Amino acid sequence: MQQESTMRVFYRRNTDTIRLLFITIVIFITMSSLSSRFLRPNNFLSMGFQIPELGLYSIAMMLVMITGGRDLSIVGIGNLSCIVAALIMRDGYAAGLAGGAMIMNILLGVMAALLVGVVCGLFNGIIVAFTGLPSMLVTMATSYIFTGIGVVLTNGEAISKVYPEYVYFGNNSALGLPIPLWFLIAALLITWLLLNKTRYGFEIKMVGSNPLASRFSGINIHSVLIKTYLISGIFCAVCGLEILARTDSAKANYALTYTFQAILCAVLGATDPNGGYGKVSTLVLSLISMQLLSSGFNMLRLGTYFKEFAWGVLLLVVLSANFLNNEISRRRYVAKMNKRAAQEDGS
Amino acid sequence: MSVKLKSFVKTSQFALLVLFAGTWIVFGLINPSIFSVASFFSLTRACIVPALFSLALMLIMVLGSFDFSFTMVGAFASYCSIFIITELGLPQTPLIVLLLISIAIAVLLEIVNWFLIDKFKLQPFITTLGTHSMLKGMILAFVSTSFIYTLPDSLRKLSTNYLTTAKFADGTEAVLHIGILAVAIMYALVHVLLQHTSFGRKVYAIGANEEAARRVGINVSKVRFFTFCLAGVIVGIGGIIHDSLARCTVPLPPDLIGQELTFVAAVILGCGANLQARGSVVGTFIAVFFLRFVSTNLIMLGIPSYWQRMVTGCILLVSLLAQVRGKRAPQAGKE
Amino acid sequence: MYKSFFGVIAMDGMDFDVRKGEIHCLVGENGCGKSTMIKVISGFYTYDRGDLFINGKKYRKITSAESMREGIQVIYQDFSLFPNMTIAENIMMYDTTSSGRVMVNHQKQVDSAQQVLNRINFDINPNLYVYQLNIAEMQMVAICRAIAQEARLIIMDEPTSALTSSEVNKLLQVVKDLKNQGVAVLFVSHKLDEILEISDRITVMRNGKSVFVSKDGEALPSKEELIFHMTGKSFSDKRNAWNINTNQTPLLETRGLGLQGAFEDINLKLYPSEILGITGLLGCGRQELAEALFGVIQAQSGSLLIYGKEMNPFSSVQEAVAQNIAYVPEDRLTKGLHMNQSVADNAIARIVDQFRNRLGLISGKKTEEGKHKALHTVHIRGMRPYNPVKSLSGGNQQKVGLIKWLASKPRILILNCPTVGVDVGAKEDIHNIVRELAKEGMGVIVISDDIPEVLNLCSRVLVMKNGRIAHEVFTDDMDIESLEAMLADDDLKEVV
Repeated sequence: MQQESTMRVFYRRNTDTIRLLFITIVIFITMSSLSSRFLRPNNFLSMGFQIPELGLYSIAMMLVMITGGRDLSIVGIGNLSCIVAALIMRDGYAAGLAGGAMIMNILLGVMAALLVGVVCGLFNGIIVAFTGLPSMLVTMATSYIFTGIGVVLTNGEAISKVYPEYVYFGNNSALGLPIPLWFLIAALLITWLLLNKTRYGFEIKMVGSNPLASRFSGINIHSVLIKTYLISGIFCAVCGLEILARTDSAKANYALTYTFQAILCAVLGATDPNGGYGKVSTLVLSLISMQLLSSGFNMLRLGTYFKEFAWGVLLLVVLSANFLNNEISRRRYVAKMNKRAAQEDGS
Repeated sequence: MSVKLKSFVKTSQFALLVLFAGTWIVFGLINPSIFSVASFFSLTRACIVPALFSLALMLIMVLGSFDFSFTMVGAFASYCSIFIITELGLPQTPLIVLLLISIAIAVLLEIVNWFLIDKFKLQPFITTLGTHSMLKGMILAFVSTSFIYTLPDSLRKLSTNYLTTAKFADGTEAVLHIGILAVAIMYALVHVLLQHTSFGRKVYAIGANEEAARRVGINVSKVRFFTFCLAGVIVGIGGIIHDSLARCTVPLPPDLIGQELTFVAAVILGCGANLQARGSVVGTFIAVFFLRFVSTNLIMLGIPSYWQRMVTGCILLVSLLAQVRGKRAPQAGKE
Repeated sequence: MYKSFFGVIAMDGMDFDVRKGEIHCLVGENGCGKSTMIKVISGFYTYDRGDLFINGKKYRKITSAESMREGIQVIYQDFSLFPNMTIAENIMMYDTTSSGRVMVNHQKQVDSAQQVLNRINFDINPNLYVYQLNIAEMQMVAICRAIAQEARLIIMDEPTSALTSSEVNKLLQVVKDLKNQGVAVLFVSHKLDEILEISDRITVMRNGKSVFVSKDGEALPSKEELIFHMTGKSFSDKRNAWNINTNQTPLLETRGLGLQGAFEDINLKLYPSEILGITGLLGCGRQELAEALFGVIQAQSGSLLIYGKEMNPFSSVQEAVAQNIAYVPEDRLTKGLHMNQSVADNAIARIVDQFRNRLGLISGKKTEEGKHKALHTVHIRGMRPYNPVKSLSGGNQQKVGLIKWLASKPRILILNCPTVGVDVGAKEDIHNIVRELAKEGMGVIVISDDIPEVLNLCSRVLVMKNGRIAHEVFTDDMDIESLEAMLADDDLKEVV
């Protein structure tokens, strides 16, 4: 083994984090110099309320992307569990439940929503694992079905008016941070633990980088895939509950574009779309930079569409930079080899 | 000829056609007005735009690539061209000029996609997701956010141009819009192109096995370039026809942007037994009509329209599962 | 009189030529540079030194398009066909791509394809899709495609490896027909019987050099001579005496193991500290047997005895792993390693579970220690543990594959072609590692068609043929020539 200075090793192992940190800081400085209101605490507080939805969906997407797949049904699962919880809690609230009965009712709603996440995730996972169909197509079909069930359950209308006590969680802060943000932080921590501290986390990367070799290493690919979609489903359900708490309403077609924003966020966060690589630290940075862009453009009264533009450009620039970077180092390597061959020739 | 007919009977496109016919008959028996010519005409009108956009997507999927931005490209091109004409105050601009401007813009945008996918070897889906987002922001941020209700004269004339009309039983009139001619021509052209020209065969070859295509001496990059351009031409025309049918133009038409998956669904449903590079022009055409038929006629059967999404999803899932046929891919879960 | 394809190719000083209308065979052991040479001729690789002449024209650098224009066609092992198109379309593919015509006339295409099919007497409906065909038919289509291109030289890379004997006979007949039609065929193979049956001339390659070229008009060399040239005498003639105590319980024993179409009635015993060789030609069932012993595919009949305990054939890899069996597959790239993951992560892929702390979570410190320990079991020069495996050379990659399994401390180790595509130095290293392991009591099965390797490493060798164990050989009184002869002694005719 060759010895390298610890600094260099650290840099090489965290290049993507450092690069993204740099981008985030640049965006932060630009935005704060463009708008004086950007640095106000209120702005950060409102960002804290906005970020968890995309964050939770992005985690769900990232996990599936590490296996080399895409999950286009995340928003479908999220909205469906949101609707189920809302239906239960709305009826309870309308019936005037209070005290212990209310808590039981809320718990029932939460459990039902999580169950929806589990069932939908399992459904996706089993089909993808056992049929070998491209996950993108499978989840596209199931997203229609999940959203469709949601539409049927609600007759296509919004469900609203649940317990104010429940809605409190979505709109207030605890320990100086918005409560939804705590949920996101918890989810990120869990994901970090899953990816770095469990056998599953190790196996998911292995399966993503080479399913066949994983099989030859004695990894149960089917189980890893099913687990992944299951966990992704649960995160979506949590996101659905968060949406209900924040908006006090559930709608089958709420924010369908989150699917693609989540892919954007995951890829920007250095998740390899071909599978095998994903990191929580870069995902957090990519979330923050996307949110900074979006809040910043809001501050500048430039409308939400500027952020879409900036997100797209950012994604394309990062992808192209990755390509060019690899290409340059490859060419350098080839040149080095040629030079060495020429020297050997001469001697 | 009988041999050809026999081999067509075996294809999955034929199975789809049978399924379509069966559904038609069942629906028609429940509600006879579905059998009427007028009902057919209104279905046709609803299919014009989806048919064109699905065709563009199918072309790119046959190539083994993917485009998520094609609806945005179409909307962008048509909105910009009409916007330019309106800003210049030239409402008398002939249709052909309008189409050419729109096509030029769309082709240019697809070339950007091609460049990123072909030259930088980026993943098509992710890349076009990026260009989609970028264009969406760009049109609102840098072009305009306003709706344009007074279309150029030629477009307004086009919107009321129809081949023939038919009446429903209750007297409401349905027209066979002239746009269906554009659809027929484009489908015929693309069919001939893919099936009967060497270019088309190259497209299929690349979609099946890019490496093998290189080995037989196909210039993969060049073929890919022209395919993306052609897709640009189709969405450029599709965008203009869309605006003409909608009788106004908006930066982000809600029946295109955000509906990409419906178009993907039609192509998948139409390509049948094998997902890899077997995209079929005929199949796509049938699938577009089938999906649209199911969704518009559920209401006529007394089923609330909100069942539509779920039914579409089930059709899609079943058609996907039908393709598995016991063979297991080792690449489980990969895109 | 005749135009000669004359090439002097320097990979390592390879002199070689093919003449018009002859069947020229290129033979050599695995990894001797045969496929490199094909790629050079077909324009996929460039060469650094020497000259290449085609049709008397000198090429300093040849592109694949130029190579095709000169009438050189390669039939790759994967055939490079397009499954989504019909036979006719595949056969006429070059015509479609290079004729410059805009339209494709399907009827004419079918007719021309039919003519080509007739030329080699291949009776099949040209309107069938290629995905509907079996391997042998696909190969015929690939040959037809080459003929349709007016090929003057067809290079076939190991064309018979996936075929049954009767299909092989048919193929050889086609090759002879081609020769009569004036097409030169370069036939790359290491099945000596086939080669001796059809070739006009033979070139033997070893280590990137041509070591033997048969002369014009002279009789072909005998099989023994060929084997001598293929293997050379450069390796050590060290033999291992079989001194295994047969009274101890075998680590692994199979009783009548069988799988339809792959192997049948396999009875073998593997004792502790033994290195057992299994050899045979491609398609003899050794590959399937290896995978069945590791649970990748399930044997249908017979039973297994592991450490003396009888059990059913494994139905999954997990079952085999639970019995402490390790398997290093023949193809590192697709089956063995995760090329994009780091060396260290590959090394501990089997043993991550061991690094759990009391909470059941994987401890970073223990993992680092584990990586360090695992990577020190086998020395890999110049390796950086956090670089991806793909940055290593073939030999070092193979070592990582070994490390991965050794880390889990298996009692039975199955190595499938452990030194394919590995340079000489690394090969020696790997052999030494295997010997050490056996000394420590591990049972090792080496599956290989590299005869010197098998003789060098093993004390007992099983020769497989047509899915059965045909011979059991003790290596101490065996020489390469006779083992190679045993192997290559194809019972081609008796099957037909």
